[in-house]
Amino acid sequence: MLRQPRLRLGYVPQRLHLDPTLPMPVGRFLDLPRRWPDAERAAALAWVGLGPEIAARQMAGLSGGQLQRAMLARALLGRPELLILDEPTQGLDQPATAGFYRLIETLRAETDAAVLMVSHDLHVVMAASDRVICLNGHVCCEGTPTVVSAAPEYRALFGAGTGGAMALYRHHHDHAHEGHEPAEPA
Amino acid sequence: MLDDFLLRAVLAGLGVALAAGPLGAFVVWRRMAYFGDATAHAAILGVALALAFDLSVFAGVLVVALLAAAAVAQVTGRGGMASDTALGVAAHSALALGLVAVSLVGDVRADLMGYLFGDILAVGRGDLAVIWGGAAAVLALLAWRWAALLTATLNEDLAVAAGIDPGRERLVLMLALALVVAVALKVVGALLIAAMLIIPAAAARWLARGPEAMAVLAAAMGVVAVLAGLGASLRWDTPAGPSIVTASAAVFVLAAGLGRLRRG
Repeated sequence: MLRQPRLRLGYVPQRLHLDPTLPMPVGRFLDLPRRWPDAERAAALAWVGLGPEIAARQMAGLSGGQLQRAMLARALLGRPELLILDEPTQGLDQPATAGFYRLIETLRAETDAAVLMVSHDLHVVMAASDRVICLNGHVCCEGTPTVVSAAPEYRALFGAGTGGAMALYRHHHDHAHEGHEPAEPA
Repeated sequence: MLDDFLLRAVLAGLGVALAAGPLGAFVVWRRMAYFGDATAHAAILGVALALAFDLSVFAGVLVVALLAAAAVAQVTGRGGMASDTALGVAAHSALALGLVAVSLVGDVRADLMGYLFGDILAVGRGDLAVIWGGAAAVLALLAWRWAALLTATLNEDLAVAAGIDPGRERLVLMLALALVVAVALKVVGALLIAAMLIIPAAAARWLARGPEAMAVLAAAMGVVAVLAGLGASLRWDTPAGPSIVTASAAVFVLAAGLGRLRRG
């Protein structure tokens, strides 16, 4: 993989395991590893819909949705050109998930950042992406959502009837491509 | 003024406490307690090596502690976190092997207690220079790498995305750990070095609301433990190293009580 030099990257990890021995207020978390002026921190928090008073609260005391937004605020602080989100809504309930996706959509519309997202929420993926890469241990198929959802490989994985929208979290079965062995389960 | 053995003891203890506190915070955050133990126990092997080749004990311990830290990190992977069985094997083997090696090298039976439990009242001016030099190096290293270390401790993927190499930060911590072990051997002894790392940092956790505050508080609590422990040792004629550790345990209990009160 090639990485453009000086690419400004914003990254939101899948989950943040906070060791209980590590006290970490939200404001300090936003300043890792670089420190930012107070105004920029407050602006980033406002972007993701959090008030400035949350900066003094401990990360461990946040709800799942707040934690996810705090991590997004931190990723936005560097004014990223590429925002990488790794299953950002895992562990969130339905309204929080919907809210988070709306937030990503707003961000993409109002900043220049490209968004690379890993997700199992197929309806969101198909509705909001420019380009989809379907992974099942290997690159299964790729293209625009219409191309992917029509691809035979994709239909073999998720079935055609539901249009992918009702697919379960885990793939039901593996299938072989010509010249490829099905990937071993990890 | 440095002629007074008690003054030298106090200064030596303070040097160790100031370096061990902030480093101990990382040991606690990264769950490296057993890792610290294994490195500290390997110090005895370093002593044997120094005696055999007529090196300075500090140099022997520093080299062996570094090698031990690197070896244990290799075996357990991910920088010595987790895998307590492998670390238990390493920690106790290092200690036993060191004791056997020291006994083979020569007639040091009398000194053995000093290496195991420290001999802070016998600290000379040269020792003092080594202790403060080592402590200053550890603090400088931690201050220089602080933001990167903290980010890598919080989440390694997050660190990589920010252009930080978590492997390098692990090496920095290993180097700091080996330095603290070499510096603290004379003060609290191989068996109790890990206590000086863990107990003040754990006590600080009860009162600190941020990582920097916890590191500073850990150093401060170590200082209190050294002063109280040495005072108690003088008054009741108890061994100095274990008295210091006992005092830090008392500080931990007090901090826990205070923390509960504040939260409750």
